[in-house]
Amino acid sequence: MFRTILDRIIALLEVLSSIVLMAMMLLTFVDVVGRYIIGKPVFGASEMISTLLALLIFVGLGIANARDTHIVVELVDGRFRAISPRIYDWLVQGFSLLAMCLIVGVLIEAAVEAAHTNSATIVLEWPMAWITGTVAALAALSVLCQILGLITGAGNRHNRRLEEI
Amino acid sequence: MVPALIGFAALLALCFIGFRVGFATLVVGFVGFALQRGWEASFAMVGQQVLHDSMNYNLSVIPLFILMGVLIVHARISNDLYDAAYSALGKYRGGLALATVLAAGGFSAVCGSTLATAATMSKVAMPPMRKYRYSDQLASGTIAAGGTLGIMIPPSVPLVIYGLIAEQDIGLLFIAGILPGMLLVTLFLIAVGITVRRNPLAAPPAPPLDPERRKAAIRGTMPVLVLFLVVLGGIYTGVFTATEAAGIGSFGAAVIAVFRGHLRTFSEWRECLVDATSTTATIFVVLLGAIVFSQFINLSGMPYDLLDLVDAWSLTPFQLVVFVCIIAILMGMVFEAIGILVLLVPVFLPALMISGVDMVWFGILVVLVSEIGLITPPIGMNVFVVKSVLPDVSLGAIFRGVLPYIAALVLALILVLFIPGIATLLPGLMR
Repeated sequence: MFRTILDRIIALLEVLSSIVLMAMMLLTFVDVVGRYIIGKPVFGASEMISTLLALLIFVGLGIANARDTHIVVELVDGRFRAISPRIYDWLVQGFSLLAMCLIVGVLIEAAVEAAHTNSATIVLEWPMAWITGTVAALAALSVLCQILGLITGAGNRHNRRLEEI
Repeated sequence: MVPALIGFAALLALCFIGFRVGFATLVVGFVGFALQRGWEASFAMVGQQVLHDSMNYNLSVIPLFILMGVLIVHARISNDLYDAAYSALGKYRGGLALATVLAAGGFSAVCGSTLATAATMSKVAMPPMRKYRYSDQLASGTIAAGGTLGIMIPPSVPLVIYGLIAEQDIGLLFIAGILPGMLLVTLFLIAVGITVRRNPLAAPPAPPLDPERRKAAIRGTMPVLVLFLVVLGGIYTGVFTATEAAGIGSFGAAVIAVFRGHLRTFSEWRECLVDATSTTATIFVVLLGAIVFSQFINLSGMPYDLLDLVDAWSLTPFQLVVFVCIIAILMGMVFEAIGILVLLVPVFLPALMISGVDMVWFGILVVLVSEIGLITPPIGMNVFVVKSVLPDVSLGAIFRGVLPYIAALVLALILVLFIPGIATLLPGLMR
């Protein structure tokens, strides 16, 4: 059951991430072409792209957390894991979970604060509470993915190394 | 300085144990800041940094250039690049190895990933080199070393990250990477020449490419060349910002892939877009962690203590840069480009800036050092990538094969160190 839930969330996140990244690429392209060819750039393009970037990062985090594709220094970690693989995995993943909870916490606080102050983006005047709230919700979803990945073992041995970039 | 040193020790310990680098940096930064200023202040600092940097327009260059690289790999242009390079250099002794270096340089110019370059070149260049009985040592070493060009020749994600940490113009950094990138390609070609001259049996002669295949390869390479020129030309002339160039570049890469018969289905698109998104997320975790960690380091006063140390030792700016490069070389034995950048640069940034060091030049030097780390033991990741694609070649043979290229990289480092103009000439013309 956990596996099915995780697969569905990941499928949803994959579609979302495809849409967001595609939108970013097209928006940047159309903005530049609009500016130089028809003399009319997209109004507020940079704010839209900034918002899309935040969405992209936290949609991507859901996928990365579920599969545990995070960057690892693989030098002697195998020796530590060999002592007790199960405890090691829970310890390492628990630590990642703790860090993600910290991120979710600060984002929720930022969303609440933005709601209280009614802050908005400068050009498009989009309410920051909605943007931050959505990002916080995505971050929370990524924590759920992380937990499900840990339970189902979906995140085993997918880590990237520092230079895989 | 003591809290910062304890923080560094804790971070290194966590990384070695196997904790995820980004999360470890974030938590150590958060706890370190909290122990000095209180938990509430630390919580507020993390919130501000995470939100600010997640919505930083300048950082959108990262996903867009990653997407460009993914699309270029998907367009499968590597065979054409290799054939085109071979048609230019095939007449010389060791022509296939020379072509590998040139094709790797060309591929890097639109891909930006060292791993993708090494893995792709392993598949493309190894079969012909095997067919004409090139030694495994020369063939695999050339492929592993060729892959390192991916982080110097723009677009380069490590250069983007350096630009963000050191607050340098990413466009200038890209332009600064062109001449050192070309220098490296030239030195790698010379390294092949010397290796082949010393051991002619390592590279028996191979026949020239047939004219039809040659024409097809040149035709296939043209769009990639145009894309590279548009992206870098746009940045150089000031027509695009780096982010806009990345948007144009990724769009152009998609068009090339479609015209080459790829990206015709939704699942193909999804594969590329999800790959780029997932990579983006993992990079941002490291980046956000590094920014939080650097806040803690700044608060601890370590950068200014280092500045006092530089004063006390009467180090000249040049000596300071050499000192930082030596530390980076030592770090490169364990950490790779991003690790070196996020851990080293924030610490030395104030000292370097106050000493009047050209930070564009320094950025190129750090990336050069990172390249050396990619092919030197104990963790030479490009060597491991080549080994994973070519399991029958021993690690020892690949490490022996990269020795001439390590010498070339060290020579390039010395040249850029003593002749900063190699890195600063083109950006100087733009400023």
